[in-house]
Amino acid sequence: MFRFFKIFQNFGATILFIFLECIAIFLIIRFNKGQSEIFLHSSNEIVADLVRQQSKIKQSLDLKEQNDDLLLQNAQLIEELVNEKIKTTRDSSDIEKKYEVLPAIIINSTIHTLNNYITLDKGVKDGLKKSMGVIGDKGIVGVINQVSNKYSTVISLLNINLRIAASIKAKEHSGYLTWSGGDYLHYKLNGIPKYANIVIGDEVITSGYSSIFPKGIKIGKIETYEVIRGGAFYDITVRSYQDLTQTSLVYVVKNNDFEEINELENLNEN
Amino acid sequence: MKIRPLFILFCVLVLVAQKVIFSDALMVVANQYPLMIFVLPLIILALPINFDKPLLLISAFVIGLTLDIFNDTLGINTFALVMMAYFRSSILNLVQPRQGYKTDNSGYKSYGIGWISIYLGVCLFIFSFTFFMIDAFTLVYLKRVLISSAMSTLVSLPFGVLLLMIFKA
Repeated sequence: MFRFFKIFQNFGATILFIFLECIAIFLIIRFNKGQSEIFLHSSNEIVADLVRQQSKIKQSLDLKEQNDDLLLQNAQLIEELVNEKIKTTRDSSDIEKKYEVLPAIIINSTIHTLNNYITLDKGVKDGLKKSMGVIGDKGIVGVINQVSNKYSTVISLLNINLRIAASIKAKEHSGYLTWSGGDYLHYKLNGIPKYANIVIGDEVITSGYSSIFPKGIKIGKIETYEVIRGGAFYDITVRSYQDLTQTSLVYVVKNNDFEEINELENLNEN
Repeated sequence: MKIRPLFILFCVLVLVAQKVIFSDALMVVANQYPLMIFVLPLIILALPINFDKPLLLISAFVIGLTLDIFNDTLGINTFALVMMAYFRSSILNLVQPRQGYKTDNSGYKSYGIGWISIYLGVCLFIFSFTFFMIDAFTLVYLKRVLISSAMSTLVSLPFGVLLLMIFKA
């Protein structure tokens, strides 16, 4: 209390001065038209600016949320697209959703070895299982290999052990796509018979024969092809749309009939 | 303090003068620089040098407000006058004569006309600058405000000097 008086003793005149000037300013703004208009105008401008800044900050804080929303939306759209294709090909409107699509984020990936794997931030608790297909925004990425509770690993398309059932668009020949190491944009398409009429630039899509990927997902374009002498098949080089070195968001395709199909096929083998 | 009735009469006279004779701009130089004669600040400036500062501020507020009420410019004169009253002591320190201020209350006359002119000039400039600044209420017309207040200070100065020379604080 004594301190307070001391401060007032030292700065009393200044405090009084500020107080009186505040009253004067208030009177000026309250009772003078010109000044009050200027004051209102500039304060409105300041307030508007503040509001704008605030909304900017809020927007950037919401970016993560918005991103997740968009990812989910994308997944839903892909899902619809994939299921729509099945509907039109089978010409029945009442089949239930065969494929479900879930978004996931790549948290780790290798590209330099011959057996490359990708790690995703989704696992069992998000409904992921072994042997589900993984696609990116432009093409396919790989197949899920191991699943833990929260994470899963994907056999990347850049893995010499992975074979993807693929076909050439609008031509009914189907083969399988493999990677032979080295260049991460070029793949080999094997199993297309020599009599097939193919052209450079033809689009390569998934064939839908493997129950991992739905039919018709784009993979890439034919860049070169040659006939192996004495062989029955073409040797086709495909340039992939999806650059796996620059992929961070992927979509996991879940085939609801996968287990049923698998069981049936296993019966055949036994 | 025995001159109090006389001082109040002086205040009233100055207020009336500012209101009736010098209420509006004397002329507008070059169509954009209003010229005003300020006699109101002289009430504050004529108070003794060692006048209590808080009391000075309050009297400046009351005097300014009185004129503002009659002039319908509520707050403008008050603001400028309180501003000037606040800086008066600093200016008095700044222009202090070499031998210091006299303690015998002999009035401003004894410091000479030159000293009075500097003291009044600086104080009047602060007052008129604040006045025109508040009148404009924006920094856009800063040059105009500066010229106006410089000229108004020059015009008001003779009145003040005359007053302080004949009037004993």
